[in-house]
Amino acid sequence: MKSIDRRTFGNLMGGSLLAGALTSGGQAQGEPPLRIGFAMSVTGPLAAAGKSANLATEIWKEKVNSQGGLLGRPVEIITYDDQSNPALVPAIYTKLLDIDKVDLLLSGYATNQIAPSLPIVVQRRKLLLSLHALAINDEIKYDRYFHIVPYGPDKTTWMAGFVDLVDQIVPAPKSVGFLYADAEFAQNSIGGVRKATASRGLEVVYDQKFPGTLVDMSTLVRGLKAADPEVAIVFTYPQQSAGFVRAVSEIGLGPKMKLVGGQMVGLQFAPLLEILGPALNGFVTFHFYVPEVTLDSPVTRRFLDLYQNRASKEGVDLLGFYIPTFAYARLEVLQQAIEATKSFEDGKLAEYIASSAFDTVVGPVRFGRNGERDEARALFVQFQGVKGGELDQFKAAGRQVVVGPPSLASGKLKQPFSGARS
Amino acid sequence: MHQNLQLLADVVVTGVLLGGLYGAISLGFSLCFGLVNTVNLAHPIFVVIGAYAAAGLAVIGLDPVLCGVLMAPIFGIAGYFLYRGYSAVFEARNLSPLSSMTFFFGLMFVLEVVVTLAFGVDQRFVSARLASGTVKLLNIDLPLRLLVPFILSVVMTVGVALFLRFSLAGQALLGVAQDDLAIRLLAASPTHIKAVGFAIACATAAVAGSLLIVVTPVQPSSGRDFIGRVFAIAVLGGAGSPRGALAAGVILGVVEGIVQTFAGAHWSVATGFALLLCTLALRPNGIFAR
Repeated sequence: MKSIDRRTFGNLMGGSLLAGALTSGGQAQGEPPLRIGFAMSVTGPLAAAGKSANLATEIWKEKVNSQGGLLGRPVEIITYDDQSNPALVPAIYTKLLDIDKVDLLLSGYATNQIAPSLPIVVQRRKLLLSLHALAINDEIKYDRYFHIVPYGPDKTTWMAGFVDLVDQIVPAPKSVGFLYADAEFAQNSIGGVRKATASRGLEVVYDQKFPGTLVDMSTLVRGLKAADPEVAIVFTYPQQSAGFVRAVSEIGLGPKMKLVGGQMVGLQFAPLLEILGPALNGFVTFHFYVPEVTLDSPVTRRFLDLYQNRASKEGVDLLGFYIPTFAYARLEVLQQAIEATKSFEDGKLAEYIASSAFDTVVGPVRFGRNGERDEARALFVQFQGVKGGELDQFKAAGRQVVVGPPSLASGKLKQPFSGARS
Repeated sequence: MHQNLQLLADVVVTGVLLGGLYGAISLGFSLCFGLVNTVNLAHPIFVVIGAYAAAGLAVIGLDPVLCGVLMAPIFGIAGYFLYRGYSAVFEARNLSPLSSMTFFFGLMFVLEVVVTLAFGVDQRFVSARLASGTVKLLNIDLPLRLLVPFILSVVMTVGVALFLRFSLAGQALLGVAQDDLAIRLLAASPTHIKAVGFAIACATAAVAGSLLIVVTPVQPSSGRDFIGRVFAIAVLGGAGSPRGALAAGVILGVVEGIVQTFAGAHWSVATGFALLLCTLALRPNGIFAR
């Protein structure tokens, strides 16, 4: 009989314990998590939007994990703050891919932040589901890029819907003023708007670009007032949108003014609506969802109820109409693609997403040229009858009235501008 | 022609009013730079904290314009102890000015994160009863949102200038800025005197913050927008000079407004730095250099 000395016994016991631990550990952990990574602005000027997108992502993750994950793998979200600074974005995506070894990527929020991520995404042939990036794939034409927000396949036409509102004004306006931020989102849109105003014979009497660091809009509003156009089309970011509304309230605009608004980012967010209150009346801005009867959907309402219940605890946008719905919808697209292809491979998923239709909280989604939504569906809403700064009024119909496109209109454009203010 | 003159008058008036705000924001930075010998790059975030404090007090019914005045002593005390801590670590070890600049630059980011965690990331904006509406003067609309902060800025600047000119502590501060050793020979503590100067600078940040949030929405990162401006204003006006900070703020506000209106708003970003370069070339110590 072979004897076992104490050292050999110890080694065998240690080895078997280790093997047992590894085996049982593997069984307990099950499938490795599916790691989804992205940069998001949770500090800096875009933070309000970024944090609300993160909450929507968290809601989706919790729901999926409570149902057993995706193809049996629990979902893990890895996200880093890009500080609203586009220069930080490439390094974050490099880290996500090389250090964190994420399986799938999402974009951050908005054109200026997403554009810098695209080169590395293309280089690594990764799938990218994008959120509020206007036409950043027009030049690159990357076949694994998909953008959930319905700006449509042509960057020059989505804002032209605002100019269509001019047709509702009698007598037809003859002059227009432009005021636009020196930023990619504005630059991408303004070309189409210029074409649309030119085709209607509107003479440009004021044309001013301004930097993002402008502290107060009063000077520019005085210039706009002096030029006295009948239509003012502005392309502003949140701080300037608020400044513009306040300055117009204080200084006023010319007596001929019929229509004021445009691509005013920020007037979709709860904090600014609460702050500006009745000063918003008459302004028209773009949107993608407002609680009007023509857009009523139980699916959207259900998601928004869930989101709004958590938003106050998390300290993020209390309405959630603009960002969270689409942040959630892009994950529904990803989920449906994974479940249909039974794969996590970027190529297979991209192929499926490009050729399929999806049911989401923002309605049916299908992608077209350059990964943009197959048709534009920007809404143009006019603030009407806003009283005080109560946020709840914006949850009801009638305050953000859809005045275009005609197929979704829930009310009529009030004009002239001075009349719409009261 | 008449229309252009009217527009020019409007723009100049707006520039003057906005310049008052610039002066208020830059005053504390200029005092630190010129008298305390500290490049306090965190000053703009102190202003932002002042803005959030004003917004917080406004919720309980206080007018935000007055909140800054109420908060000023608290900011002053906090500033005093911050400087004592900074001095113990950096000045006592004779570290280079670059190290102190790095300290305040880092502090700016730390405080920005603290503000984000404490108040969230949403933009804050308050309406002040004292600064609502518009008054007309010689056919020029003057928004009280800009006029009231301008007046308070002038009052604060005059107050600080009088303090430096006539109070013993103010004169000691001017003295320590000129000759640290001489103050030591008088058995006074330069560190204490500088800490008092730093405290005054922080107190002005509380007032400036309450004015800022009345004029424009504020978010945790708003301080970054002002770093270039406060630097330009401090150099242009003469570091350590309260009237210099106000005058330079007004000059910058007016020039920015004229450039925005008649040359293109995108050029206005370069205005502050162009003024800075011109000042450095023609009058390196600033307009109101001591």
